[in-house]
Amino acid sequence: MASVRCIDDALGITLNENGRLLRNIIHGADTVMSHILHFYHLSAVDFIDVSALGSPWGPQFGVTSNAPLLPIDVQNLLPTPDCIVLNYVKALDIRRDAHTLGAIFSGRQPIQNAIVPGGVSCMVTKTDIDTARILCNKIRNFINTAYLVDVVTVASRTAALGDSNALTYWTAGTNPGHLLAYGEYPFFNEPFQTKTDLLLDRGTVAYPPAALVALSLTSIKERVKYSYYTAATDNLHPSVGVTTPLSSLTSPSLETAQENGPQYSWLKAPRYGGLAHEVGPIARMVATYLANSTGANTHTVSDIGAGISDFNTILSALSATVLPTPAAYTVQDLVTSALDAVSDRVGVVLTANNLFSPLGRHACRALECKYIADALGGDVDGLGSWLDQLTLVAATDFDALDSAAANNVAFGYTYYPIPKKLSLSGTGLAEAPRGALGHWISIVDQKIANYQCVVPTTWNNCPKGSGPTDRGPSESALYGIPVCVGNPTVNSVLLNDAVLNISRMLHPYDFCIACAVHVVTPEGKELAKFKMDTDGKITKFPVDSE
Amino acid sequence: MATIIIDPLTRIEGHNKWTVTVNTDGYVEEANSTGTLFRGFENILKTRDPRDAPQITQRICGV
Repeated sequence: MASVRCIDDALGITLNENGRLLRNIIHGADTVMSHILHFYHLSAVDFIDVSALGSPWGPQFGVTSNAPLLPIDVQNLLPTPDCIVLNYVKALDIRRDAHTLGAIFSGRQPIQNAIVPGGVSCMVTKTDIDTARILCNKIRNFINTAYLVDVVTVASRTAALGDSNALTYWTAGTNPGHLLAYGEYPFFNEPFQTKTDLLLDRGTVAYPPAALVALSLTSIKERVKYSYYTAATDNLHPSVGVTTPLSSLTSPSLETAQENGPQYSWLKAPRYGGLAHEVGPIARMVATYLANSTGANTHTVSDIGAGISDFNTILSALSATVLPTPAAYTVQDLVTSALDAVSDRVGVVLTANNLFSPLGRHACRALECKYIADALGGDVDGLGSWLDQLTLVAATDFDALDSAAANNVAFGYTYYPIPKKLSLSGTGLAEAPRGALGHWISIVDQKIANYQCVVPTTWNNCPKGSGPTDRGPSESALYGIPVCVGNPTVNSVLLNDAVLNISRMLHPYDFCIACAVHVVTPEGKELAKFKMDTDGKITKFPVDSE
Repeated sequence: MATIIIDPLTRIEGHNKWTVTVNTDGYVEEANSTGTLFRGFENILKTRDPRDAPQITQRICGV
């Protein structure tokens, strides 16, 4: 998404209405899928003791006073409760549905074919929309009755197991106390960073969250003092960024640096105004919450839809503040209801400050999942959902389309040639599921002259920047917090506590560092080996080579 | 003082190593996050058609 937006920006492309809506739908479906994946399949096991299931789950960390795990048969807080572990299995189905929903328009998820500069190369039919709506309502029902309730259950029960430190999961890890969001889901068709009318807001926030500050892209610099890149590339803006490793991958100097130098990561350290910033659902939700509270953002989405369990009934069952009637709510309404539902159970009044915590980060992801799914299939601002707002191609129009103007409203895409001889540059911003994503491109005579990506996990998982106390966001969240009661070298139970609590602190960031390519058959047989040099040159080797 | 090395940190997308020092009271003294893979997408893209960029950078996936 960021990649097509930087080209859109370089060429000055304005999308048509279907192009914008289809991008929102495809990107929204991917984000919803990713959030459900993260809570159930990557994080739930931090909180629930699944050792009874045996291999491949065990052995599990010991259940101790300091790091309590919920029993495997724990049920959620609904009057007719569901078993959370069974929802783990159901979530697999729902994730497939979310992928299918996006793929109807994108061709494939999550690596979409159809999102291209100029829009989305897809012609929308009524069948597409009807199929998508059925899938979306099924997903929304799951979010209402399972995902959100299970998050509230875990968030409350973990604090209610009689552990004096349990509220730590709602209070620790405030650092670095700076959030950054590029915003997402535009209400306009011009290049993305030229306007600010967004469903999820753009800007920076400092802890405690009081004001949303406008974004200044020139404040972004990437430090490499602690990363395996040449010193000359330190502190550059991404538009002129350079990615040069210390030396070739086999040279002794890189190995020396790995052993002796200050460098310890392949991730660069992006800084905004010289400070580490956290990105992700927490940044988007807090930014939008603040914009709602000042009236700068008045957008609402709705919970309505065929076959959807009434969310207010669920909130009432959880004795939480219900969403406004008629069913149209803002991010602020949603966050207030959720904090209320948990506060009631942990016996402490939680505020927006508590979102800066491991459970707060999980909560923001779950609430955002609902908000986006409701925009996709419920309603936005009383104008219908994104699916409703799409312009359909009439069955009789197919012949006409062949000769139609490029800007045909039913087609989500307009072709723009890349001009010869010209030098162009563009910035593409987006909110990936895991946070703020920026791509910077410069084009010379139809070729890429320079390209830099600053991805969400680089923000959240980066090493130190300007000096030893300029920690990356997740490093600084861990810094100075208790992870076990007493000296972990004394016994293995305390050490297990520490490891489990460190994982609980780190998992809510939803890191994604994968980019290795393995080509294997389903039986695991290697088909080929490739080596990529730092200049991008790829060499193929026989399978049995070293 | 205990040094806890988690390598790899599991149940994330990718490979990540953490080196965390914890003092005798159970508090974190220092935490270092190590990304263990070189990405290099920027260098692959140079001199290519700009329209290749979305198809190639998507392979970074959901980051």
